[in-house]
Amino acid sequence: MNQETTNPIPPEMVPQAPKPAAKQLFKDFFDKIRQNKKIFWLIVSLFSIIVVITIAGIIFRLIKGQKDASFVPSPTTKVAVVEQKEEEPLDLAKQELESIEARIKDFDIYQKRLSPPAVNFDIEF
Amino acid sequence: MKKAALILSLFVFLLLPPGAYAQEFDFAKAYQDFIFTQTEYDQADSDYEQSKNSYLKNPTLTLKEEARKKTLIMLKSRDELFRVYLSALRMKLLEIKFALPPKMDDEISWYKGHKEVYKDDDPLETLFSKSKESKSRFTSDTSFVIYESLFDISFGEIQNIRGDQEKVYSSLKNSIDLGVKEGILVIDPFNRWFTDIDSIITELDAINLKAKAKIAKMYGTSSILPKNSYNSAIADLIPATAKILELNQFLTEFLNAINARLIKP
Repeated sequence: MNQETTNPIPPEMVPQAPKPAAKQLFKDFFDKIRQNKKIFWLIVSLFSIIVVITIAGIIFRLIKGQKDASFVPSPTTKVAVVEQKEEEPLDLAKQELESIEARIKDFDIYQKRLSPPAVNFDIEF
Repeated sequence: MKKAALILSLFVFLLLPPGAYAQEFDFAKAYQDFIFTQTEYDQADSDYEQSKNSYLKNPTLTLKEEARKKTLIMLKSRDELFRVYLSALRMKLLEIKFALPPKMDDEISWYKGHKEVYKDDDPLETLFSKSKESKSRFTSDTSFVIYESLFDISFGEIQNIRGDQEKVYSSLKNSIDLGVKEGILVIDPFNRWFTDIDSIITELDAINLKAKAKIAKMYGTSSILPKNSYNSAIADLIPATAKILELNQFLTEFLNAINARLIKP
């Protein structure tokens, strides 16, 4: 009851402060960055790199486009297409057996290259 | 300044080609790491021995401090060597698609953590005491994981070879069945050869079972060292290598016979 008497204007009727313009917001943000010199110069140098890379990309593209336009294709040579013969199961089996034989010959049952490292545990002196 | 460094590192990271930071960690890489770490440990151990001998010949405070520093480096390097070695065994087992010993990851974590236990200002006596923890861990747990892994790697490789041989054998059997059906091959003498090949496979099964039982005993008896159980299990597994070679020769002979006996239309 008391609240109604102390604040009679509904919230939606309260006049809102005008929103700052986008230009003003950008200016405030820019001023903030300028205050911190290190970040300012870092951002400036990154932007410069991006701009340089973009310009270089456009220039290279234009040059390449010119080259492509002046390119006259040479007559195509006919390549004889040799049909690849599908391998027979017996040929595949032969290859597989050869590969297995090589694996068996290379196999070291003692796994010498993975032998436990020789370390010194008795270090007291 | 921190923000600037963060932004710069993010920018550099984005500019890097994907291959620069996407190196795969496989057995080959793990093995290279092991060799490198072993070389580092050997150097640290040699430096430790030298400084220890110098101190024992001339026990001054300066030489004791020098020996303390070298001991510290060697002990840290020793834990790192076991961590890297166990990782190499782990990667090999994964490469051959064999199950890891249950305690493998615990052991790797233990050495990783224990390396940090050594402090730069630890006196020599504390270093000796902390070193005993590593020795005790090796005896009670690590050596079991190592020798089980080494056995499993050999066992797994034999199993993989055998699996591939059985695929070839099955394909040859299919070719014979098909040839007989089409009337371009006669079943004799292949029907008898099947029995000979099957008997090698049965022998291989028996060898594998015997060796597997031997390595399992490692955990049951405290009187036998893991290394001795491993040597005994490997001795049982050795005939398997001769058998898989024999099986391969039989299969090659089998294949040549099929090719020779095919009735050409």
